[in-house]
Amino acid sequence: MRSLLITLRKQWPFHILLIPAVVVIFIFNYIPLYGLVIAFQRYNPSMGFQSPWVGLDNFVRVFSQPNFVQTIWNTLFIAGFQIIGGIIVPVVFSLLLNEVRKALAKRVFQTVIYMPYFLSWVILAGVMIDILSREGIMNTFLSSFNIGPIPFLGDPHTFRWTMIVSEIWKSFGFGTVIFLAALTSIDPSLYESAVVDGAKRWKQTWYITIPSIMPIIVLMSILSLGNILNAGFDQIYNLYSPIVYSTGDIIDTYVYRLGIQQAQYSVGTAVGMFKALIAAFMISMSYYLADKLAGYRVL
Amino acid sequence: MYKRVLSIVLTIALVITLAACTTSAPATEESKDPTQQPKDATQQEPIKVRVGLPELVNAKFAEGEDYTNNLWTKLFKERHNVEVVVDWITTEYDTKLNLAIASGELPDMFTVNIVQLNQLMEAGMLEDLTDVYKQYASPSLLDMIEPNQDIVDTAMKDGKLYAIPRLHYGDETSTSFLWARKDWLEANGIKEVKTIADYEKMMEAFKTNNGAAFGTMLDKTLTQFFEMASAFHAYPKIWVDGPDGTIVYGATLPETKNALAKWAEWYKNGYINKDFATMDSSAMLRDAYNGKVGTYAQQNWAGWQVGQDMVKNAGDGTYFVSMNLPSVDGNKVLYPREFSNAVYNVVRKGYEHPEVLVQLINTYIDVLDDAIGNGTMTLEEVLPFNTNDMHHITGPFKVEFAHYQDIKDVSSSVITGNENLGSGNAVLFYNEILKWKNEGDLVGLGRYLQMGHETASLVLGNAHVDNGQINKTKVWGARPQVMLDYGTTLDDLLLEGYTKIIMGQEDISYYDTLIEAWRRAGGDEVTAAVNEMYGK
Repeated sequence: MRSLLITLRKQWPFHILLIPAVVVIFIFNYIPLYGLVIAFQRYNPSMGFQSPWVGLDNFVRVFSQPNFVQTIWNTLFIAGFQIIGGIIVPVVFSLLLNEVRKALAKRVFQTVIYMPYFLSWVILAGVMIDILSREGIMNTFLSSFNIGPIPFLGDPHTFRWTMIVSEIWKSFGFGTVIFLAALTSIDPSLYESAVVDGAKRWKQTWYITIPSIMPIIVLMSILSLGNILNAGFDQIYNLYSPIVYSTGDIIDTYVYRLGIQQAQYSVGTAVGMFKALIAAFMISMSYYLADKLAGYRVL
Repeated sequence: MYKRVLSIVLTIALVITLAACTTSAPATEESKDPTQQPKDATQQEPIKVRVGLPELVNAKFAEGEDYTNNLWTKLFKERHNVEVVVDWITTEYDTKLNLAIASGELPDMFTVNIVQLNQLMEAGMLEDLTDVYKQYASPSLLDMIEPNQDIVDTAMKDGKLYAIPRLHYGDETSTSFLWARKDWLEANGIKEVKTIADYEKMMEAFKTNNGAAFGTMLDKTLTQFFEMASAFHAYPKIWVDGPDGTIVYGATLPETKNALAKWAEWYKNGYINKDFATMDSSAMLRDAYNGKVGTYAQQNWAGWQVGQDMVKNAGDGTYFVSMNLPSVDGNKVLYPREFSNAVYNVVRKGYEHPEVLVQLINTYIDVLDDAIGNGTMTLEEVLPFNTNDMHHITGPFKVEFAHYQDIKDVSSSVITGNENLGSGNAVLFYNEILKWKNEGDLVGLGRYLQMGHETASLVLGNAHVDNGQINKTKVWGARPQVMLDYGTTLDDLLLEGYTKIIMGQEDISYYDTLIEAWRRAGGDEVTAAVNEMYGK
């Protein structure tokens, strides 16, 4: 208790800075939680939250839909690979960038790969549909190697890989920043002594660089577990079509179609709540693992 | 590191403030209208009515005008002292309205579809219009509504009227046609296509003689497939009498399977863009504008779609003209007629002036139908109210009705040269067509293709009505609750399956598996409810 008071006295300005964020989160993230009650009601807009209770009916409806289990699997599949690729690609790239000697070249590369991160999927989707069509640049390019044409967006099997790869492409520049920051914190004397011992570039990378940033890699992987059910609504909603529902429909797009476009508010909420519960579990898990494996503590 | 984080935070903050500025700016600009200020002060306080509107891509406003300030809103202000305030305007009307319904923040007046109407009536969120309708409806409005009691019934609950149905149009507008490029038809000497085999010959001719890349257009909604289904005597979208005497969904009958098999064959033969499954209608039409394809099945208004813009892109004579759908076996084609009253005008419960809705609808009908005949307005005065989509921007304040007689009058006047026009609408249509015929003004092309020549779409449509070629869905009006509960989930299932079959990802035998899946997913439940309601 005493120590808590001492810390508080030292850190009070930071706590004051925190207040607006707490208030905003409370208003926009906690108060709306009350709306979850309609998952257990047959929602009638004029009665609002006083609508009749139906117990778990809405959940039963959702799970008896023929394509719902498939939707969960799609979400896990797409998000899973996006997470894995979203770690590996930035790590490799930041290692490569780290080897670039010319500061200017390094900065140019970094900016260029960072760029797509700033474009919204609404814009990118329009561009991608053109590029990836049968007569688009991509297939024209591939055909010069006698490959294809590949229906990147029009085939259920290719579609999810297109989603995975394009998401990784869009966001790896952002991940690279984090790993580059970690690389700068490695003690240069380690490299010096390694050089004395006769280690070449590859050995230096293998025995010094990678082990040094390992904790960050582990931490980033674990923290992204919380996103395992977020396969990216914006991306998929803007790029999919009925032909790829079987592999491309994710929980979020399913909720949108069901809950908003077809005005099935209660059912939509039930699906959303189901997703939130799993996400909450995964996040708790990831924090537990982060503490165990990487020594990262939230509390 | 801190500096970098700080700069990121600042950038984000900047972007957010910028975004906020750009969205809020126009709103404040619209709200202050200096010209109206002094006038209002002398008059009574105007009645404000908030509306939500669908955005119309083709609407062309006069200089300085927009959805809140245009010739219609000025007329409403002048005649009824009503000020129309636009709450929101969106291209995704149904989605936006569903959100508004869920949150309970409804505009004062708006339009709903039949599902939303039932939901809102059930929820008690609509104002009872029984009395204001009786009291204010003009004779012209009554003339239009009264013959359509079956539609009015769908807007009633416990003997009270909760909506003014838009009525949509008559049977003559429900039929589909084969549209094909005029210059290509002439080059190949094709006058009509009687069978599907003839149609295939036509697609082949367009490919070999005119350099078309594909035979027919198709987009991811499969609309063109559905429009052509009746050529195969298939009715995948409506409820029909089944072989055993009960009502069944047309999609479950073998004719639909035959139609799909043919389309799958066309896809395999390269008659359809391989990318169709990812294309929306604008991407699909781009193929037409680029001269890659010269035919598709579409409704009577297709001439607006591949008329004016087509000519601008591809030159004179490239517009599409309509022909009757071919028939797979030479037997008479019956056209599906869905319960088409898709739109209802409603008033939010608790709005103080429900009578405004009826008054404004009266005005709408008066301007477009009666004013010229009564001599209260001249043709030149009325024309702007009906061109450039201006008659569609009025949102919840309109009623549309059968144009059967107008079409007859206009087409016979244009074709024979003996002017014989009954209504104000007919005069408008006729003059638009003359603009195209006499001056080559593209403004009149769409209308010309609808009713300006012997095989114009609506002229053919009238003939379909006269020949008894309309096949009405058995679910006419009210729908069983379970059908509303399922929404479009069941149709989505079929759409996905159809697409796979056409693309050859699944063999045609997959059709039976698909229908089985549809039955299990709720199709049987809905069918039972339909049979209970419409009794067989």
